[in-house]
Parts: sequence; structure tokens; C-alpha cells
Amino acid sequence: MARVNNNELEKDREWIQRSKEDPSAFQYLFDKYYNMIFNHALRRTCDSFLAKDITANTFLKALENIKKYECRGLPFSSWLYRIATNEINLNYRKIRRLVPLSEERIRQLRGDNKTDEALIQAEEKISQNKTFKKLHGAITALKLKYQNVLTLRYFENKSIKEISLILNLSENTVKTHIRRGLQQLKKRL
Amino acid sequence: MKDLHDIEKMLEKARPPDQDFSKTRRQIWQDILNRRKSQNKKGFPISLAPWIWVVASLVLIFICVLFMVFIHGVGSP
Repeated sequence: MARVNNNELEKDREWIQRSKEDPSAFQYLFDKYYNMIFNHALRRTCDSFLAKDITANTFLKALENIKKYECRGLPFSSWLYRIATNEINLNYRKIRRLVPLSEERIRQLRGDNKTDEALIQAEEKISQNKTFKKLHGAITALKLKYQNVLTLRYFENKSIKEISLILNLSENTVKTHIRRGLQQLKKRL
Repeated sequence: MKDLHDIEKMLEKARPPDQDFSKTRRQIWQDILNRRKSQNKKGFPISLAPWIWVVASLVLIFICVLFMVFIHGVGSP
């Protein structure tokens, strides 16, 4: 698990305070956590264009609500994960309906916009990981509460405590959801 | 038959590594700023705290009730 040291937390606090007074200061936090949220969204959706939308919505909502954010107890990165998880849950139906990246779709996307090349490459990379694709398919068929805990635990390497903060659940509930989620996943594999 | 520990190991091993999306970062930041601007434009012209709207609504209801009582008083002999 990536542990956040006190200096980082202090620096975040300083930039959060600045962002509350001047929204343009939020760009520092955006730059710092952009890759983390994009990778999380991509691992949840397996679609780089949907992951891009989810990332943009996550930071837009964070920026809009930065004045309400209080550092007590919940690290900023966990707060971002919470917003991103809510965004992913809102797009759940879309994620279930997604089709694998086909040659035709790649051609179409390339024709639309050349700047999206990086996104196509990212999606191609993730599609090549067959075990991940198989697991992703099985996880997507589970209930959302199990999807949320399993992906945070095993794809984002979050501790039980951090997951409980992100999802606003007790640590015991998180442990129960992980165990039940794994049991459900076992039946599907 | 796989046990839960095997599934855990499988999930840990299958995790795709982090990728670098810095090429798209500027574009998305710009997109966020544009969306924020357009959302602010679309918003109600008077932006007040929610409690002010609640108090204003209650005051308006109170005035209407007073007006009804006044009308009732004028109308009755």
C-alpha cells in the first residue's frame, strides 16, 4: 500500500487551503493525483474514453466541493477515490455493456482525433492482459458493493482502513464484503 | 477447485501496472475549466445560500397568510 507521509499530507493541506481561496490553485492537486485516478478508472472500466470522462467528472466535482472538504480523518486521495467510486457506480450500466476494443473501433477513434492516440494505446495495453480481462469480466458481474471493495483492495492495493474511509463503511463491513465478494468471484471463475 | 487464497493471489498478480497519462493531462484540465465555466453561466443569476431561500420562502408564506387574514377581516360584516 502506498503510505502517505506527514509531509505530503501537510503539503496537501496547504494546497487545499489555497484552493478554497483561489480555485486555480487546485491545479497542483489535479496534477498530483491525475494519474492515480485515471489508472483507477481505467482498471474499473477497461475503457480509456470512459475512464477519461470519469476522471474529468471526479476532479470537476472535487473542485466544486473543495470548500466543503475537511482534512480531519479523511486524506485528500481517499476523498478523490470516494468521488471516483461514486462516478464509476453511476456509470455501472455503461461499463457492463462495454464491448472489447475492436480493430474497427480503433480505426474510427484514430480517425476522429489524433490526440486520443495515448488513450487508445492505454486501452490496448490493458486488453492484452488476458487474466485481468477475465477477472474484470467476472468482477463486473458482481454486486457493486463487492466490486468496490475488491478493486480497491486488489487493484489499488488499499488497506482495509483506507477502504473503510473511502467507502464510509466500518472495517468489519469491509472485511465481510471482501470475503463474500471473493466467494462470489470464486463461483464465477 | 480454487480456494479464496488462490483467487486473492490471482487478483494481485493480474493487476495492470500504472500507466502514464501525462500527455492527456492538459487537455482534461482545460476540459474541466471549460465545463466549470459553462456550468457557472447556466446557473441561476442570483446565487444565495440555501438557508436564505428557506427563510425567504417562510417569510413569503407568512405574508400570504397575513394577507388572507386581512382579506377575511375586510370581507366579513
